[in-house]
Formats: sequence, C-alpha cells, structure tokens
Amino acid sequence: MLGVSLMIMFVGWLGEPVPLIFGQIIGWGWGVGGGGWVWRRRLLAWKEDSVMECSSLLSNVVLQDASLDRWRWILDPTSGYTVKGTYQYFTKSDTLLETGLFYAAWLKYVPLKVSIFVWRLLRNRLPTKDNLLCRRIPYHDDIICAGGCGCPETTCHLLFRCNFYGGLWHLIYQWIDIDFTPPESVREHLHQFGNMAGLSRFTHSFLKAIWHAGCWVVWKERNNIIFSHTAKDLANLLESVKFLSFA
Amino acid sequence: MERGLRQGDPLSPFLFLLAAEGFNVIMLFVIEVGMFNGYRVGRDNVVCLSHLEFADDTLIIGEKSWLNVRSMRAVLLLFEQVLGLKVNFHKSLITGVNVSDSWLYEAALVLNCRVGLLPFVYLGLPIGGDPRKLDFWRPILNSITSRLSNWKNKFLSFGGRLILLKSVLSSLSVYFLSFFKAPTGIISSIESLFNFFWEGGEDIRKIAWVNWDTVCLSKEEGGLGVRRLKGFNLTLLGKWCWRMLVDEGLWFRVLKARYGEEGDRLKDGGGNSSVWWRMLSGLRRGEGLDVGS
Repeated sequence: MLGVSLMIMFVGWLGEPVPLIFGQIIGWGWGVGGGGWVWRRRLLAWKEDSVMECSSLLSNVVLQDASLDRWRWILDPTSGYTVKGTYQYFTKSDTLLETGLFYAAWLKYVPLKVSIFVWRLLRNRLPTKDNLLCRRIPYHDDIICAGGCGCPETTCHLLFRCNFYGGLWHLIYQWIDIDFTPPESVREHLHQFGNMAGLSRFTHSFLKAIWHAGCWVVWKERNNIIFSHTAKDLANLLESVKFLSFA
Repeated sequence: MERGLRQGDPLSPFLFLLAAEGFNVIMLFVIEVGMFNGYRVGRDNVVCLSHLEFADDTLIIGEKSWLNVRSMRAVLLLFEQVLGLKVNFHKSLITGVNVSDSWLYEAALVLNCRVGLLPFVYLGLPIGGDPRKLDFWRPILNSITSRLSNWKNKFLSFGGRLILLKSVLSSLSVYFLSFFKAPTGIISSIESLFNFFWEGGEDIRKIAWVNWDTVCLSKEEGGLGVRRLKGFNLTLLGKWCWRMLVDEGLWFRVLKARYGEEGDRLKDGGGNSSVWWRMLSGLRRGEGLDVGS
C-alpha cells in the first residue's frame, strides 16, 4: 500500500504494534501531509483511518542515518527473542494476588512434598472432611475433627483452632519464646508468623520452615488418627516439629 | 581408530567430527567434478542440497539417477578405505520421494541397504509425516505414557511426581514441539495424562484438587510452575519466526529459494507449500494466538 519499506510485525503477537523501520524513507517526512505519503489513487475511508493510525505511530520515531537497520524484539531489545521471556509474557496473569504469600511456600530447606502440601494448604485444597464433603465423597459421613473436640473439620480449624492441635502451636510459641496471638485465617497466620516484626529476614525464613513443619506434623498426625488409629501426645508432636524444622 | 573407544567416551564425538569432515570434503569434491547432483531447490536463485550431517546422523540428498547411486556407493566405500570408519549399509536407508518402488529396490540392491518409507526419522524427528494427524504424535504420546505409568511412580511423593512431570514435559515434548505445532486434541490428551500428579492412573481418575490452569501458573503467582503446552508450543515456534528475520543459515536460504522473498520477508506459502511452512506462515500472521490469560 505504501511506497516505503515499512513493516509492522507481529501485530497479533503483542498488544501494541511494533514499528520496524527501514532506511528508505529518511527525510521524506511522515507526518500528516508529509512527503512520505504519495498515493496512486484516492484512498477509501478505512484506508485513510489506517494511514492516520500509522502516522500517529510513527510520530515519535527518529531515524539515525549512521546505524544499520536491525530487527528489535520489543520484549527484549538487547538479546532478541527468547522462548522463556515470550512464554512468560503469554502466560502472565493480569491479576497478581498475594504474590509474596505463595512464594512463602517454597523454601530451600523444606522438602518439596512439604512445600506442595503448604501450597495446597494455602489454596485450601487439602482433603479435609469439609472439602471432601464439598466434592461429594461418600465415605465420610461424619465431619467431626480428628482431634476429638467435636467441631466440624475445616482446614483452618484443624491446623490452628482445634483445642487439641491448637495446643501444639502454643508449645511451639513457647519453644521459640515468642508472644503470638494467632489470627483467624491460615494465610494470615503464615503471613504474621513468618514475617515477625523486629527480626531479620534470615530468621523469617526459619520461622517459615517451623510453620511448614508444624502444619506437616499436624496433618500427618490427623491422618494417623483417622487411618491407623494411633495417636501421639503433644510433647511427642513438638519433638517431631523440632526434628523436622532442623533437618 | 585402531584401538577403538568405549561406548560413551567423551572423545568419540570429536573423533567422529574429524571423520565427518573427511566425508564432507569427499562429497564436495564429487559434486564439483559433476559426479553427484544434489537436490536443487527453487527456480531462480538455486540452492543445492547434497548432504546434511549432524554428529553421527548423515543424510545424503540427490536427484534420482544411476550416476548418483553409483557415486554415492563409491564415496561411501572410499570413505571407509580412507578413514577406516565402516559404514553399516544394513543400518542405512534409501528413501524415495516420487520415485517408483521398483527403481528404489534396484538402487537399494546396488547400495546393499534397506528401503525406507516416509516418514523416516532424522535426528529424532519424523521427516515427511503430517503433524496434523494423530498418528504422527503417537510415539511421543506413548513415550510419555510409559514414563508416567511406570510402577515405581506409585511410590513417589508429591514432590517426586512434580519433578517427574516437569522433566517429562521438558525433555520429551520440547524437541517435537519446537518444530511442529501440536493439534489441540493431542495437547489435551497429553495434559489429561497428567492426572497422574493426583495419583490417578490410566484407568482410575482421582480428584484434581487444584485446577490445571492454576497449576500452570508460575510459583510467584501461586502455581507450581508447570508449563502450559499450547503456549509453550507457540513460543517455541515463534523462535522460528524470529530467526527468519535475523538468521541467514542454510534453512533460511532453502526457504528463500523455494518460496521467494517479497520485500524483506519470505513469501507466504500457497496451496502447494509444505505443511510446516504453511503452519509457520500462519503463525507469522498471528493465527492461533489465543493462548488465553
């Protein structure tokens, strides 16, 4: 359509068009009514529109005479197209929620299975009795918590607010000698416990590891009670938390 | 190479390169004196393809003629004599494109090798197959299934299964996906195999506790950082579109000779272009880029 070598590549690829310019039109002027626009015949209305759009795109482009033309990938102008960068661009979600919180699930010195467990915990996707009930698993007709407190078993209740397992957390607070009022939800618990004010970042990651170990031990204990009917007392559980978090 | 090397010796690829270079020199000479005619691509600025070598995989391409068959045999025998590296003619294949079977069998008799059928495998990729067909993807589906349905996997922890899932995804499929566009059906059947992550098997399906879309998010965004196959496939193919602009390698010259250039970019293939090129030029126009979020 134009008498110039102008290419707008990958319009479909990236949200906004990427003008890639070649040398021939230097000095012709591509503002509205500039010398760069010469037509063989009158333009249709929609073509006029796209010319306007084109010239507005070109309005802040400055050409340099000396440098050679080359292609530029707008996501990574220095090293060009990379599969990694483009894939991240494609799959990046628009809503970034609780970024740091989910990141807390991944700690170096915690086994991967525990990290995945915590990840499911933060998403409230553990097979607790209320979650199973939601998915209509017929096996569990009672939804009473395994700790023997008589309340319905939800993730938050089981791990933190149950009379029995809640006691474990109090022992943990005593062990690391902190004063802590547990908040309502699981996520806030991790957030506040793992980012205790007045402590270094290094300590924070240890606190998170202890939190991971605590949850993992409670969950294991709950499974033991349900499936093999063996129970441990709190002192034993605390020992296994210490063992796990220092492993 | 009198003494031989052990299998897997790091020296052997280097030694092989020396030998392969010898083969290259012989081939170039034979072409120069006109005893071998390579396959000529394009009408105007012709690119002549005669042989492709990558490590121990060698492909000789030529026009159909008895001269070519004879000089091919001569080159290979000469190569054996000079470098002492034996060519296993039984492991070699001769494949024809638009060549009658009887001619092909006679040529195979002269060369003392087997007759191969399309698609044949070069560097692990099936050449001449149609990636839009399900059969084309059968081998990769089978290999993924066999890796995932191994009895040992029943004893893996969640972490182990995640690692296995990622390794299966990256190692098995990336090579295929960087060259061919997988049909949607194949992608969904590969992804449905990943129910094994939730301890499901081939027959038993277990509850997927977390939505697959969420699992595919990166770890920072609250997923497990598993790759989404469709998006990854398109990004890998997009690399070709990029290399088309910045790379001037042999593959680019072949495409240029075959399809020609218009302005500064290669012409889109028409109805008689290859499946691969039609797919790539479709991608270049931005087709099929509805990757979703």
